[in-house]
Amino acid sequence: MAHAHYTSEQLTERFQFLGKYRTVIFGLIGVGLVLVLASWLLTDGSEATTHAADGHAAIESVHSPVQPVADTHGEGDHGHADHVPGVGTRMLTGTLISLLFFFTISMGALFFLAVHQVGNAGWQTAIRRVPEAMSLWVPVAGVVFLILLFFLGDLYEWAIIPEGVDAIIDKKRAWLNEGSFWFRTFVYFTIWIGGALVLRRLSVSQDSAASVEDGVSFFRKSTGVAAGFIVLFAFSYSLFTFDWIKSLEPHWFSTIFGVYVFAGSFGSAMFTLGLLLTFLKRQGYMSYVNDSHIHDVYKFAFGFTVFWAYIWVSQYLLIWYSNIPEEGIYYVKRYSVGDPAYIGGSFNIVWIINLLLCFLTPFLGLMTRNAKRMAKVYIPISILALTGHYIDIFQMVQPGALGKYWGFGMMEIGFFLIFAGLFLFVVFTALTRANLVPQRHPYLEESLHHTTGDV
Amino acid sequence: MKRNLLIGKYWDPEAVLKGLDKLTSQGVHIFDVFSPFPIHGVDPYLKSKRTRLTVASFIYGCLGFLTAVTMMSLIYGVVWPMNIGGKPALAFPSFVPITFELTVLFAAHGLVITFFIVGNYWPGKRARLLDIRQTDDVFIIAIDKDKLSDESSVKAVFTDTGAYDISETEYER
Repeated sequence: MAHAHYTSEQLTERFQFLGKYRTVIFGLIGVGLVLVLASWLLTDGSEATTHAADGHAAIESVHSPVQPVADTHGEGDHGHADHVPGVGTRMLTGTLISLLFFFTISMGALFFLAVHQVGNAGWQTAIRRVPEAMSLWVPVAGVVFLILLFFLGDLYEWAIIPEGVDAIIDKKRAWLNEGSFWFRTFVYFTIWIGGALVLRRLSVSQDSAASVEDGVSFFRKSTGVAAGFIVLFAFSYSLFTFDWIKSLEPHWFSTIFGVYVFAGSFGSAMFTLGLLLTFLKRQGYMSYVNDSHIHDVYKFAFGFTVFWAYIWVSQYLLIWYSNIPEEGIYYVKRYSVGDPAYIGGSFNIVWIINLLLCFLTPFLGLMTRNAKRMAKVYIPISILALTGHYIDIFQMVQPGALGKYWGFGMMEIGFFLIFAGLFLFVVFTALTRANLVPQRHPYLEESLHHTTGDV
Repeated sequence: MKRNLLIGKYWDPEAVLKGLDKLTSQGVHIFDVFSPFPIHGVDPYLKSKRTRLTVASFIYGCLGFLTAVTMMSLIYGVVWPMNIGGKPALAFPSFVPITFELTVLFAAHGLVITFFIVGNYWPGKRARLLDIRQTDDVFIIAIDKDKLSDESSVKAVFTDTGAYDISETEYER
């Protein structure tokens, strides 16, 4: 192919999964496993087993059979928070947080692919193999979610509180029961894994087409698939967040919650994409990815941090104004200064750091044009923003699952390292499976000449 | 400031790019390019400085932020405290939407007004067109004649790259 500035070797290069990357990745997983095992063994085992055994009894003794709605506010937390959660619950919570962290990132990457395909966007052609690789984490995450399905009772109080104990949960049983939860999870992952694999397959099939003209049929097909996928994605992702995150606190409700998680996940996907592109460029790949591509990725990241804050405030403001106990409990738990009835009075630090890292740091840090192009600025900002995203997931999950026994320690770090290693392993493996540049792509030329005004 | 311009008129944006390339390689400074629509790839030849409008916009945004916060704090905190739904008079969450709106309003309007002032676009300004059709189908390369040492070579480039007309004109912003 005749490309003005690039040799055919540069445009058919493949990522090499070198031994040193493997060493680092297996090191991450190994250290993570050691940390998880250590913190598991260091926790008092006898206490944990007692609680696992008398879990149901403890709950039944705490709740009176008839429970007026208004009481829920004053009473504090239900279920898990009323007794010390076992080490098993802590492990499952750690798993869920780290799993959700990388899963939301890969879903953001998958949405990136779909929306750019539908929008006929040309600029992203040269970099799209990286979000493709990130989206292939979705099937792996699906397997872990499948395992978690067997431990619903340890994470979600609606799964263990028997009928007749909690009036609010009883009203929600039509949606919140294990059978329909399993069914819905299978439906979600059928849609997402299907979408990820079909989009990937069509993109890779295009590589072996005889010419650009022949390859266009794959391109057209993936536009159709992506359009349908976006519609299904909007519904399924929103419901997924209701099921897997929001139902940790089954009394609470917020219809905007899905958008809130989505805003965080797309922004974090862009930060991760920027870091991966910079890593690949520094390892000598993707010489055709120029500052303008990076600039555009970080424009998205910047925009979505603002969008995240916008949705955050939208959710908070309405709950704050209306001041309904079942709604307000969510923020009372997270921002109860010195109120030990809820969560110990120190969780507000986490809550504030979340806002600072998810909004203020990237908002001010990435505002100027040059910040989005200079690695020494956007790398630290990306790392801070991704830390913020972890804290965002952390504050969604822990107060609901562990209540005032929340904590951050070796367990959480260990699970994060394990999942980071697995995620990188999947992404790197996916990158080796196809050329780093999509071949016979109708917009390849446009993408290689992409510029946002390098004067 | 009045300038004497040497201009080449083209029918084709591709020819303009060719002309710009040749002129720049001869070391000629391009004064400006006029076209009915933005031509992809012209910017590097113009060597224009990066705009500082973004900095101005940021300052206006900060001003809007401060205006909103000060105004609401004074009104609700000092001048006329009100009880709305039992919330404290100085309740920051209720300030967020207005603060956001005023920040955007100040940033956007300040930016546009500054752009008009810097670009010299006052109300009723007469359009200074080099050719009446430059807003329709004619593409123009303009060279500052006074900064030019060799006029004939520029004219030769214009002719070679397909300019249909070469002329001289006075121009003032």
